[in-house]
Amino acid sequence: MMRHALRCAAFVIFCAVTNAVLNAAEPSLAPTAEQLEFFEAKIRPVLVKHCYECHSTKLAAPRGGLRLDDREAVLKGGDSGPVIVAGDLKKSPLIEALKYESLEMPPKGKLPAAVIADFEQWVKMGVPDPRVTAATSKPTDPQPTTPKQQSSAHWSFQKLTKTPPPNVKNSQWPHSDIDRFVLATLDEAGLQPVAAADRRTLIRRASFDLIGLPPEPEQVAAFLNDSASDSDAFAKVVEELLRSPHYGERWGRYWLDIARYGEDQAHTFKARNYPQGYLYRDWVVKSFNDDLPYDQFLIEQIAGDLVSHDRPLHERIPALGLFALGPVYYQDNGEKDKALADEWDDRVDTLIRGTQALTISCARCHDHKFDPLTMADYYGLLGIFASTDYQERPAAPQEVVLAKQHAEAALKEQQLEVDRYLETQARSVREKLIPEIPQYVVGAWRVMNPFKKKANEKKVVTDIAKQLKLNEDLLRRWVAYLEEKPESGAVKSARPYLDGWRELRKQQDANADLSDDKAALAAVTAIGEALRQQAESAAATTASPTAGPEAKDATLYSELFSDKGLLAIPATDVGRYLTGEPAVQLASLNKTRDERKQAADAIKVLMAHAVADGQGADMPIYLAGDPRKKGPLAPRAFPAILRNGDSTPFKPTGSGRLELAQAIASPDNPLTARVFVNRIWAGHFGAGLVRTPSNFGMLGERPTHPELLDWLAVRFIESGWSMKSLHREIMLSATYRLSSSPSETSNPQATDADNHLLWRMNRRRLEVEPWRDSVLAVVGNLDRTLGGPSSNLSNGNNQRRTLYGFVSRHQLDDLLRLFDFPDPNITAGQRTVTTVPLQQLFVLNSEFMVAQSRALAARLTREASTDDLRIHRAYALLFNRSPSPNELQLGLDFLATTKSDSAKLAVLEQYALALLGSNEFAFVD
Amino acid sequence: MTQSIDVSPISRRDMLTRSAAGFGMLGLASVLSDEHRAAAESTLSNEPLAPKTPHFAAKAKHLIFLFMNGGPSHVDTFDPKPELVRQAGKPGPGGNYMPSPFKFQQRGECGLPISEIYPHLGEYMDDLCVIRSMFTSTPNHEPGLFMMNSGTQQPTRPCMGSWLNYGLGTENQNLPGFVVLCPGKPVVGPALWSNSFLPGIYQGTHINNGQLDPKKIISHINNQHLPPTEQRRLLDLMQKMNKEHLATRGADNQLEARIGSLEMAYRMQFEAQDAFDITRESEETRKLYGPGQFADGCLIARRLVERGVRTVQLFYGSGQPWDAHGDIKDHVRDAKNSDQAIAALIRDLKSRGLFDETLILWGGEFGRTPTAQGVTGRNHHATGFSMWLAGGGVKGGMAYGATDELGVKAVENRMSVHDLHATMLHLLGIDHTKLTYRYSGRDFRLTDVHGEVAHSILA
Repeated sequence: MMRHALRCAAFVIFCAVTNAVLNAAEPSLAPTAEQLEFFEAKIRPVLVKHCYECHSTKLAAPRGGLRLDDREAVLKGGDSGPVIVAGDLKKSPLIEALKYESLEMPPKGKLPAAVIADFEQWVKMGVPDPRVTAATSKPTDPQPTTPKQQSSAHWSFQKLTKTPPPNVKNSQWPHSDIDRFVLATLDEAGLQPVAAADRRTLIRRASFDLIGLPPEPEQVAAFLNDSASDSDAFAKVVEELLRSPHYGERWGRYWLDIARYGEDQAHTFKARNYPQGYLYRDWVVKSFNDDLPYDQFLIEQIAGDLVSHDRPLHERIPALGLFALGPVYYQDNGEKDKALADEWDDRVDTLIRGTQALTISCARCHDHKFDPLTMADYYGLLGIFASTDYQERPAAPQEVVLAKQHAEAALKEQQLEVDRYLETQARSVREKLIPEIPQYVVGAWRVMNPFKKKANEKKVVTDIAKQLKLNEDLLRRWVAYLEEKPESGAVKSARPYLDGWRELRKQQDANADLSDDKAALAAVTAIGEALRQQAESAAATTASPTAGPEAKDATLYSELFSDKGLLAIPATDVGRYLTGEPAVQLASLNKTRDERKQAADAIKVLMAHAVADGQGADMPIYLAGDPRKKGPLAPRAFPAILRNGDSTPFKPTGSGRLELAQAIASPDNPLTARVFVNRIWAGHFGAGLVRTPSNFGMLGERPTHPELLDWLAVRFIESGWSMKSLHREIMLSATYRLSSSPSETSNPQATDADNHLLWRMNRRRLEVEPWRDSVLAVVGNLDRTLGGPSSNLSNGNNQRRTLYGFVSRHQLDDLLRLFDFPDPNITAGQRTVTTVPLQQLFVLNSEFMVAQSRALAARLTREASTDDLRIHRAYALLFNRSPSPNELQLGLDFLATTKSDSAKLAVLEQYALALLGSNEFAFVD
Repeated sequence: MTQSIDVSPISRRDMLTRSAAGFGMLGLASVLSDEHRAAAESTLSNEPLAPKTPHFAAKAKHLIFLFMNGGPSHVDTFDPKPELVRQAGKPGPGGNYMPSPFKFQQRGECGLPISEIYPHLGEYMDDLCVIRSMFTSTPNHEPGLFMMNSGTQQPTRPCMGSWLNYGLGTENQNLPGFVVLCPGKPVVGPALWSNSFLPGIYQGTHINNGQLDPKKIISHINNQHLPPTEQRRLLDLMQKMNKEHLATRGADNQLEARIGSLEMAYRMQFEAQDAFDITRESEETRKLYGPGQFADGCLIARRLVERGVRTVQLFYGSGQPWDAHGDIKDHVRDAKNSDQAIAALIRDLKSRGLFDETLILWGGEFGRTPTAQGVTGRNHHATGFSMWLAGGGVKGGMAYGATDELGVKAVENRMSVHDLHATMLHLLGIDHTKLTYRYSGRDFRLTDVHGEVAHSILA
């Protein structure tokens, strides 16, 4: 990924400061001797010492395209214009840079003020400079670029051509047109294909290829015993595998590598995570299983919300996860524009590298150095993503979403009903709390005792309210009331009924914890009891809290029963004081509310991480990739080289995603089909016809079989972009069915050791997913459930397929990382394969392998009665074959031994571990 | 692979001719030679960690990066600013200037000043090369940490330890080549030792030296189920089956490589546990380093380097302990916990003859403001701060570069993070412009398109 914008920007040192100056003024007068002396004394030494290192004609690529060792070059300036205009300080960005006002030059440290003054003087003089060097004869283009005419003639930009399969001498060997292409190339090289793989090898290969699991022994037996011709029998096997729902799990994962599928962010600070990210993963799996035409597959991921289609919207929404699940970056410290540009770059890079196999992100800071892709092309695409917003959208049918909304509205309405009723009842119940007064007094006393401010009073109140079953809000009021802070002293005299309380506070030791003192508690309770009696009497004699001062206990009444009073229970807690008809009424209201809640909860609407069109606008080109330096607008468009030279901008009503999707998923696009066909080929052969599957540009490798690649691509489009047809086409060829072993007779090893010409099948190590899944499968533990939320692979009980493991950008699962799973922060068109001891430590010692070995041993014990039979059963399950006499003897000898007391694995379990950890189980022929 | 293997030894000579499917086989082995650079985006190798010849002879063979996460203050450690006393309380960038509460002392023959909070380290002042002119891009932890570790602010690039392992391999195939020690985890965490687009094997191996159990330090290093003799017997069985399998498949170096790597895994169990077991050190050595997790980490770092591990990165503590927003005197605690151990590490490496072949790098993700935050704290600071190098190939007893009078900005011999990376690679024998990896159609570098080696600090 080309996140080198700022770094490149710093390189293009003086350029792009201003576009205002068009041309360096030609000085009309020759410099005087004094002026030249000034230059030699004051300017040249500084240039030599501080500038030439980066800005010299001697450099192939002077930084920023700026050369400072030649007068004409100085006046011409850098990549985006002059840095000095003779006589005009204001139009000479060089001076600004020396002053560290814009760019900071030289970067190693600001020059002394006197030196800068010399440079100002020099500019004012009209830039006297005697230097004329080779630079004057150099081309004016500062960048050594590849002629675009040449690169646009590059093979991958040419229209697809369907060449008829060539005639070959050996008409017996080819089964299909693919084979004729392959054989013709082999013939040319004087090579011969090896023999075909046997049926056992073939069904195993096909099964790992299509569903990522080994075949069951019964399936193998059926194939071996099928009396039909090899081709017909194998065709049946392929059909059956293509119908399996596990096919999508295997092939969807290839796409997820490209989509850099991840469910969180590399950083954790305010990170946007994707808990429903699996909806995208499941959409991909299902699309493969449904054989969704590849053009449709792309359109839905790019603009599934914008197309009209018979598939309902909600089934297309999760597809937008391709962009929505992308990484997001830090936006702090004024770096927001840079971070946004990085995010859009991720979207463009993932899409274009994934579907077009072009490294267009190179054009972020400068036109692509090798491919005919310009900065305008890049920013034309970037604008589409700048016009697209992240949005979580329902992945459920519209009617369900509406039903959910209605149900939630009804629930809200009913809750309001309940609240309103409680409000109306609130006043009527206040007097029913009178009996609780002693408890509130005790509670408040316990909060206050010992009588000093507590650091965590809030929590103390909460705890005590809970213990004594009091209302927390009311208890708080009681505490404040009984604390009688000095500022409320004026009221004191008006509360004769608190005299007893005041006396008690005086008597009690303010620093003593009396919570376990029974006498103290009794005293407090007595005071509460007295207050309760006062309250009853007040309630009996006072008509209403607003009664006049003549009312006997009006003050206390008001303190207790007014709206903020000590017993004015909040509406939420009123329910438990209601009796009789009001209680019945409330119960009925609550019941309706609960029913509505159930109804609302029952309607599930999952929200998918998706995108939606935002403000549609073209982006400015960021000069040298720097968001602070905005150049001309780049109209949203698709690179002309991929549209038959058509450079007409989109005229999008929205973001332009729809137009983008159509341009990519077009049969006229020279790359879309080629790139995908090559990826499918690589999935079957371990290497593509183009061995740089995500780079079809000038620096990528050339196809080994260009005509075959085109032929496949055209067939693919003609088949309606059917992925399954493509699998069939490839797998039923003789080429696919070749043995993986080198030939005994001929020796293509010497001339084509890397098997570029496909004289045999490549032997491949299983990727981590099929390897782990196969271990679980053969021991009988694999949970074959499809889809759903991700789960942690490090959990020993996780027996689901590896595809369903949580994919973290922050901390990738140990097992995945250890076995070459690609970094989900960036798109990966191909996995690296490493072989290291840490992987084998997992094989030898991990809990996972030990548990599976035990399970396999148990299975063997269950399913076979003697060592001999168990060994045969194990070989059938794991390797789909019988053991050789040697292997049988090895096993028998091992099983005849005994384990030591301290060994925790029985001998058969050890044997099981050796089988599961063997090479044969890790490689496919 | 440095050890010979008793089953099917792999002849490197034969690898090319015998290679099977070969997807750019041996690409990594030729990483340092331009003409052989793998064109393919993916590279497969069976010896990704084998030691490789550097570009030029270099003294330093190992790197120990003592990472003071949180960001230590330069004006309180290695860059004294008397002018701060005169300007105390006067407004500066982001607050009022605050002089250091610590005294500085001139130590060693070089007489370079060092804060009193480092009494032990001061003894080795003549070995330190203090860079006083560091600057970085952003004064925030996460981008700062990414910058210092991978040369970019975003989590999309391989970190320096991964680059080093990719470029130089490692000397001991029974230990990971790049070990990251941290009690707990620094902010950001694993992305700081990520291989990114480099092959996964170049990822740092994180070891929590807060809970040091040699049996648990590396995933699955401990065989809990079989006594060694029985595990050996099991492995023999597995290898016999593998050889049987190999015989029916013809020469295939993928198969052979896995056979070899099983053997290595077996041996690694013993060597790795031994390497991390500091209880095997003498009482005297333990005392030299002193108590504490960081001290233990320094001692492990020495044990690892001694055993040929290429890169050890030791984070000072979990989270960001040096982040002294509230009170700069918190630095006293952090210096105290690390001072004796760092001095001991230098002394110990010297006494074992390892100092000259080990590059020690000390510093955090940025410095701290010369101005006060609140009353006694200091905020993050990116425009000027200090780091130091010591050991293999570095001139000791010198200060390189300078900040302005108030420690706000690096002004003399300014050193960017890219320059630091370029210099660090140079000290280990690597031309930073030639250590490249082809990814996404482009050659990537740790220093991207930047980086100048600071030649004047080279011994």
